[in-house]
Amino acid sequence: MLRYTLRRILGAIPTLLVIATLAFVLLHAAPGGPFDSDKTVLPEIRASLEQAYHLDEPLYKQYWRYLSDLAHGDFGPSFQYHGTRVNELIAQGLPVDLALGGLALLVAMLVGLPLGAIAALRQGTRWDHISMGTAMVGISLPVYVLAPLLILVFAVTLRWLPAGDWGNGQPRYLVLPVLALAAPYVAYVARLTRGGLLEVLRSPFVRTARAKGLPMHVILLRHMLKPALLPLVSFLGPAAVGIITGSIVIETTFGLPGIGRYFVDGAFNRDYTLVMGVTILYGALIVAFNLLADLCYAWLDPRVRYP
Amino acid sequence: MRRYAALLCATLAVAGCGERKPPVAVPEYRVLDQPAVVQELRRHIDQFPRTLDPALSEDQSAQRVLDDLFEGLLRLDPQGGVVPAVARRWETSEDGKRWVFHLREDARWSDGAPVTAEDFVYAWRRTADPRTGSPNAQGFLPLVNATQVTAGKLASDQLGVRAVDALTLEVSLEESTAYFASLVTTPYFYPVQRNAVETGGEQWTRPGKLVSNGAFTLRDYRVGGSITLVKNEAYWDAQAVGITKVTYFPIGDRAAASSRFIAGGVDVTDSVAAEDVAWLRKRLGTQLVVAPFLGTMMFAMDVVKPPFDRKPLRLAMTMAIDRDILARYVLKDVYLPAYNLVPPLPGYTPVLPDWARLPRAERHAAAQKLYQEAGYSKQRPLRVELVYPTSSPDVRRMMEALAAMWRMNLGAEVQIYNEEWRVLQQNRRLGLHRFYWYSWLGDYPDPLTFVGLFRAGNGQNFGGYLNADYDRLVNEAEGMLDPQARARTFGRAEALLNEDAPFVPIYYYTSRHLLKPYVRGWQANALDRHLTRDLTLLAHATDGER
Amino acid sequence: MNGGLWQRLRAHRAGMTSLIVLALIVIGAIVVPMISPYDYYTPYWTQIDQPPSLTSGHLLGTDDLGRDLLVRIMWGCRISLLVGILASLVSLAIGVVWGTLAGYLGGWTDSIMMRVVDVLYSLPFIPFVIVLTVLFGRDLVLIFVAIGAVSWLDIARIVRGQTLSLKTREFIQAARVAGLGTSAIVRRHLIPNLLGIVMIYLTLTIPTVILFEAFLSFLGLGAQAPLTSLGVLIADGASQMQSFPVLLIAPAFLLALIVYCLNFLGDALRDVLDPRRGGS
Repeated sequence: MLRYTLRRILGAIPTLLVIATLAFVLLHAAPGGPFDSDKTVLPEIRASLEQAYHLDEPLYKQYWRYLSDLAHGDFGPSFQYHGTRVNELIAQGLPVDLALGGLALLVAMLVGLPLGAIAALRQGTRWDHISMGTAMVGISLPVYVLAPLLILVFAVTLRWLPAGDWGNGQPRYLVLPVLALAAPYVAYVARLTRGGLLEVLRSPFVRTARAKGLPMHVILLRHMLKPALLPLVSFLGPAAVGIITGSIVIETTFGLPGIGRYFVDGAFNRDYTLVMGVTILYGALIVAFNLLADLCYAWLDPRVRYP
Repeated sequence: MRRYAALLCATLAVAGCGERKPPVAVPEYRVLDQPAVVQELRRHIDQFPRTLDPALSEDQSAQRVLDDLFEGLLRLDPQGGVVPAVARRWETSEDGKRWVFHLREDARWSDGAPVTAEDFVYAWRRTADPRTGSPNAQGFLPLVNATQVTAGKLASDQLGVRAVDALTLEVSLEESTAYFASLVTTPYFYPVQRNAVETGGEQWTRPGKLVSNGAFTLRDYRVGGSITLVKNEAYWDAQAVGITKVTYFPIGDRAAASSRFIAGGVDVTDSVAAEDVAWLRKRLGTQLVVAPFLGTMMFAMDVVKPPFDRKPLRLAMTMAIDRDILARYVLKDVYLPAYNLVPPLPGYTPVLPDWARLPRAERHAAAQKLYQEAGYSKQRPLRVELVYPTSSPDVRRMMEALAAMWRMNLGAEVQIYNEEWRVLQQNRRLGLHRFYWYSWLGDYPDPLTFVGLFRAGNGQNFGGYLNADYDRLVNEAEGMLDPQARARTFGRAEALLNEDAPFVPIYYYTSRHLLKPYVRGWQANALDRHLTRDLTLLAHATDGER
Repeated sequence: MNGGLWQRLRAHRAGMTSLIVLALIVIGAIVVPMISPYDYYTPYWTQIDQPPSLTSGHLLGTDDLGRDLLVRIMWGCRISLLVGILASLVSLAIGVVWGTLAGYLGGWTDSIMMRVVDVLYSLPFIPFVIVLTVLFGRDLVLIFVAIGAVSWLDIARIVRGQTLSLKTREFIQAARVAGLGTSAIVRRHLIPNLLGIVMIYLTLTIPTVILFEAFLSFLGLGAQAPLTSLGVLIADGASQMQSFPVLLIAPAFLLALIVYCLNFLGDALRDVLDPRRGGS
């Protein structure tokens, strides 16, 4: 297992390199540049800007420059936020998303797992339908409807919670964004838990255990839960990355200083370095979380061997 | 299945109860006619400012913050009029080409150093220098040698500005420039302190490093988060400043900003989504302030290539739009319909084309006739694509309405499609589009900022409009000293433009703010500039807000 | 087998009801625009923002350009169901094949195949779509490519995880010992056992894809105005939820209805397709 892990970590380097290269090509292939603006930018000024950011160099040189800076841990200067390094943008924004995303993930699990378990154990009954019906709310209401609705109800009408802002991470500022962020994941967690449990419920060893007269909660916790979580774990690897790197809708609706909007903002403004930076961060997290998920397989189902 | 149906209804009812009749409790304010004890203002801005460097900033959000941090030679009062600021008084030579500003001796930087003419010279040269890469360098073009300086052909110390002594600044202009006084109120004409810029490097605009000369100084700045300014005690007019602390909250979603306002999280919002205006007006009454804003939205045409190289077709397209219907039903009185290029300005009355006054049926008939004259008919309709940028739903709705009008009133098949903003910008620069969205916000309250767009050689004249008479009239007017003759000449140029119709004017912009009744000193103005130094908070009681 | 499947599905009450409701929605999406006197694009200035009414003939009222909301929703439903179901099936096909092969073959093949998935997860999506539109123009087929390119990844990972676990089971080992070839094992033993979880994921993918299409049309890909889709109608309605809530509630309700029906139908199909069902 250690060898496997080490091999995967070493394998991450070429993977990230491929990600960086493809992202670089895509960004530069998209029409429009960072200095195409509404106003007329004088040609000489444009040239001077392009020179300052090395955009006048041939692409392979820019690529090489980027990679060598990256090797030193430098994501370069942001194109749209003058005087700000991409490292700083990420360092300031990521903690916000980690806090929000971590909590949202926790909420999604705490709500989704029991709902899924109840539904599976009481399959076909009223309990099944009620818990699935509840879980599905989050996926049938898009977040750009849910988030303003939460604000309307809890901030504007009831005045229990603030309508937005980060508020230095005080709990009452976190409640609404975390709920809005968690909602769709509740549906996924609950559905996949239910499906996973149903698969296991019919397997011979559970039937044997039941025949032996073991109480259901013992069977559930000792025998069923772990293998039933396999599909959920496969899903959660990338989903966790998505949730902790932030969501543009949540951030713009609640006015939060996270990095989720850089994926969209940066792309629209052709802020090459910013998009490259968040893409590589995202890629590194994907690689890490997928490795974690793969390691979990063996823990959940000891028969799975490492390739 | 009944069970699920009930469940579903319950779910949607939970969602629906918030939506159907939102029982939004609008706080009733009892505003007293005396200042509040706590003078801390919370303002909304649309985005996080890209930078607080006056030379480099171009977004409106940055302008808001810069207007509080810095002060130029002159500034705008709440009504939008030009008043003395760092300059105590100024005079111009007879030919209008030489401007001398006399600085007040008590103007101070936040570090206590006096504000001198050198600070302005340094700042202006810095912005005009192509190595700075300022998107605003264009604004310096009226100055002597600016064209060569911004092109890097002359050193920046050749720019037409010099410090006669510590308190006297002399500016030399290429031509007499009537709007120069309002031009120097813009942020890129603000002074910066050489020492602060050079020692701070890339990070000179950060708290602790930024030295400012305006009514406020930078206290707190977190990229993407809120920006806090506190009163600058070194400011020469500090005793006139009521607010002690102003916090700017960037909220990208305008509907969310309105909710934040109603929930009491901000005192002023910087914009209101057009689709929210109707219900906000109903619910908040005078807390919603809508005012004309210096900008025009139009569609530009490539007048060199077919099909819009034919003047009758261009005229038919603009005449076929029922702007009264558009204003009433689609723009919902949020924007004002435009028949021409230049929006109403102080001292300038827009010149409308003759057809603007025709009754609808006659106008349609005339448009039909022109359409046929251009060679199109029911059997052989015009098919053309109209490109607009990715934006809010109300823009798309307007595009759909316009396409329908052209179809119903002319029989033209206008296919609308949206393009991502940068893609559209590049494509129109490269001349790939024949018919596309174009909007222009004036830099200064003068017709020139608009009529200049269609002058030969202007970088914004993507459609290739060329009319020697028009160029001659605009050039003539630009140098005129007599304001009335100047306005008349601009008017004659605009009349030519109306005749040639190289574009389809749609609407004039408006500014829209939500404003708490206890904020005193706010006035609507055409440039939509609102300095916090002119605002104060009044004592007020609410039904339990905050 | 088919006859048996149909009979078992008919016995499944929730599944059957969902199927009927879905069928009604599809029929409505096809028939309503054909028989309605209104089209989806012509504005009627005197009919703006009419509330739902039987007498006016606008059963759901009109939108802010005076167009019949029901007709627009049904047109939107056509587009969204087409995009949602086709794109989901495309992603399902790629994901299942990719995932089972990676999981079953294991070793270097698995490593490389899953690293490809990691790379595709991380690609910046907006530049990808912009480049697509530039290279290929505004083609409806591109929607399937764009959505398919991202949405098969989750399925591939889930399927691979299940395969890793399944291939250690006795029945697969037995099949291998019996000399069955890889493709036969994958087809006859792996995929049938994966269908349950895949079906669940599919029913979650369809609504996500439908909403995603609205974002694509924002980028200039997808249904172009005045043609519309459920996702676009909901996004538009959301911007007017305060002033004219029907514009949000009606399409959102339809989407929710589709989501819930798909969900229960998915469960029903999972039940009737379960290969171990016969043994219980």
